[in-house]
Amino acid sequence: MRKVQVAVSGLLALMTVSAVQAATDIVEFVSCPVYRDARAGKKSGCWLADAPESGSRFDISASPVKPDWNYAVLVQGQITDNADACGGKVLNPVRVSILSEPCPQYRLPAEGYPGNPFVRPANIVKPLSVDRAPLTGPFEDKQFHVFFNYNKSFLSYQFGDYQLDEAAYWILQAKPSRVVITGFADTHGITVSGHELREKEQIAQDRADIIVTSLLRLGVPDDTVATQINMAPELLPGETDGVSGLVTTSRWRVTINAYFD
Amino acid sequence: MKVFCLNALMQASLLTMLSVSTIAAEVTYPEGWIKPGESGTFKQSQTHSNASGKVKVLAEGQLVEMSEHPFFQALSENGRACISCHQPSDGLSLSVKTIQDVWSGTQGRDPIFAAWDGSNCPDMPQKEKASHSLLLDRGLFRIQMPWPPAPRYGKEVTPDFDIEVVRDPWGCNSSQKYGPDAAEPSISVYRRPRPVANLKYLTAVGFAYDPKQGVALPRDEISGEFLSGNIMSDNRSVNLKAQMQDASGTHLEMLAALTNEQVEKIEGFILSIYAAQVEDNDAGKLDDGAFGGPELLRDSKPGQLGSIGRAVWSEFEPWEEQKSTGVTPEQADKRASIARGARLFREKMFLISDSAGINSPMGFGNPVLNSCVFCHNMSQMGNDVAPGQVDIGTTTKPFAEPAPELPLFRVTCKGDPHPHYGRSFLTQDPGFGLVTGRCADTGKITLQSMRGLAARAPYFSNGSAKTMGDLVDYYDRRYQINFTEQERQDLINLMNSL
Ligand code: HEC
Ligand code: HEC
Repeated sequence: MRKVQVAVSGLLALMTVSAVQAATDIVEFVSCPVYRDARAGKKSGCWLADAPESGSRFDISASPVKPDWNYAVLVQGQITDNADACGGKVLNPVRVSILSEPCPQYRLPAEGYPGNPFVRPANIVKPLSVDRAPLTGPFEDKQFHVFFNYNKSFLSYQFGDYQLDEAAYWILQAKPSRVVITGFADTHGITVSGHELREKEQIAQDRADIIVTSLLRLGVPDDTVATQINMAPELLPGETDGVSGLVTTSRWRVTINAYFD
Repeated sequence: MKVFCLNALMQASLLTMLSVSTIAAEVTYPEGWIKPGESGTFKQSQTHSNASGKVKVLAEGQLVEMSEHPFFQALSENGRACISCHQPSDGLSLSVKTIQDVWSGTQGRDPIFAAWDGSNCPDMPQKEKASHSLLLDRGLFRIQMPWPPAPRYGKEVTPDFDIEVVRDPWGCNSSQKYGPDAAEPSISVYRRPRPVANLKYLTAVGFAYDPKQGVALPRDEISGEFLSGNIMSDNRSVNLKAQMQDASGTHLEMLAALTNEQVEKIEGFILSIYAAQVEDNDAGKLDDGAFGGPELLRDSKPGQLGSIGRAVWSEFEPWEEQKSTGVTPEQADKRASIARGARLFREKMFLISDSAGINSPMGFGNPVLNSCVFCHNMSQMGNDVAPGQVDIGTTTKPFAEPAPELPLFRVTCKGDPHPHYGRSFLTQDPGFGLVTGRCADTGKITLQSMRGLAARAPYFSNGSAKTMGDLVDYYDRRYQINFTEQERQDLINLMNSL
């Protein structure tokens, strides 16, 4: 179990390096999503979005959180040469954040595009009925990150919940003496496609609260947990969110520091 | 028909409505009806007829002497017991047909018609049928919810929306006694009794998280167990013990709480009950070569996701392959139709849109292509493995039926607007939102058990689907599915066989 984890994080670190190096392949834009009604089984419909800067159409379906066709999306992703199953250049990894700006619903027919047959993500929370291998010590101070979408404190399904679960699993077994939870909000913000995207201050606290509530419910002792908030998150150059492999989205997070002191 | 003498029925609340001369009048009850306080043992296995076949009810464990058991005893003055509204003949709920039969058989004097929640509003003239129209026509009991909401998980709830009464046909949302302006402010909504059977599936926990709320599952304060979040339309009671205290204080109008002993006895009993349709008028025995009926429910482990374990309604997979030996062609046809219905339930894809709890905020996308089993995903039961609060529009405009007989509320979100309805919208029952105080939860109703459906029409928490056909048609309109006539009938046949 432990070995596998090490191997995975090694791989992720590699991915990050390549993401940073290939920065020209990264696109970031705000636009209205388009749904293509491809029908290759459950969850196979396509999500597309046109970058306003270039007019290029991208396939953003690989995002762990999919768009809502009534709202604009912030798209951050890496251009690939993957086969076009939807009618756009494929972004992968890609992250989509739903914004509050309204959009007209737009549904395209399949027009011969096959869509993306659903593949169950590899890293998802296991059912309680599954026995998990115990972790073996010795344990040292350790840091975890749980990633959120822009201006949201919702722990996304098969994304943030998994990151939290990995942290909780370790904490419950390693039993650190102190767990410090830092909720971040990027109140300074970024400007994308002419949109100034600043996170609300309250989001930092909301993010921290969700993590604390969850950790306590999962069994982490109350008296070991402390929280703080931070409005100036640094990018995490050597880290990724474990799913998207993107660096730019790492500001929207909670960092969990576990100490043995 | 069972015939009882009304003497046995005499209750303080009834006496006021009866003249001495009618006391001796005979009352009749539908077949299988169990009266509060009735003596005898609760059968360990019983079957009851309904329009599409027969429902079978199993009671595991020790024989229960009904007159000595708090589920069956009238514990308060209104003469009701838990059994009043959770009858085995009706799959441990109550069908409208039964309610109407009880009205005519007792001239409206059975305690299920008690003023508190068995009439549209307690201050209406109780003898008149019209005062009980919601119960008689739609099978609905009045549920009076505190507003602002009661504390949840030990924390105060500060609602992020305002609620305004737009239509109040019966006065229970706008009088000095009832409604948001009353001394004890409340909102009255009207709901169907949920079946008290197969409950291990509703208390089972599949994962440690509530993916719809984006947080780890809460735990029971006493036992420390995770809470499934799958009880009651709005999950106001987080476990069966809390549910019983809620029921005793409201439906039973008990002034004192149930004792621990009563709670233990009731919990033990209701967890021992399994119910499912076991026979179809045309297909014959549903466990003949297939796995319908309550036994498999009883014997299976609850809380399993159909997508990674036993597929939902694979009970009828053996009937996909026609074996015509020993069955008539009509029987074979119906069996094939039920089996096709089960497959459609899992495989007929449509675009699910604007349904909070699925299309927001989980990240599946709005819309998302999927089937009935996406939400109804628990093996053997068809409820949701995750806490099942989803808004499919049954109670909220523009999707809800007009239903002028139901109250209508305007919800105005004070913080973020509702992801699908915007800042301000209309609802007949805010559902889960009445409990969490969150605008984004307004209109969400917990998915029910899907077993024994044929015994307990009408459907949906507000009784808006009179028949199974109406229910399928609702989904067809709501999500523009375009079922063929054959598909529609196959789904109806499947659900009437669960
Ligand atoms: C007057 C009719 C009535 C009586 C009496 C009554 N109930 Fe209910 N019961 C209901 C209604 C209506 C609901 C659904 C409430 C809702 O969803 O808000 C319900 C729901 C339930 C549920 C939840 C099932 C589910 O699927 O979520 C349980 C369990 C239950 N009742 C048990 C009991 C017990 C135990 C008693 C006796 C202490 C009792 N009931 C008495 C009408 C009644
Ligand atoms: C988006 C989630 C979702 C999907 C998809 C879905 N349902 Fe439901 N279903 C619900 C919810 C929520 C309820 C409870 C609604 C209420 O009571 O108002 C429900 C209730 C039901 C009930 C129980 C009614 C009762 O009164 O006990 C049946 C039967 C049912 N659905 C059948 C279906 C069929 C057939 C399909 C596919 C055509 C389907 N559902 C698709 C969410 C869903």
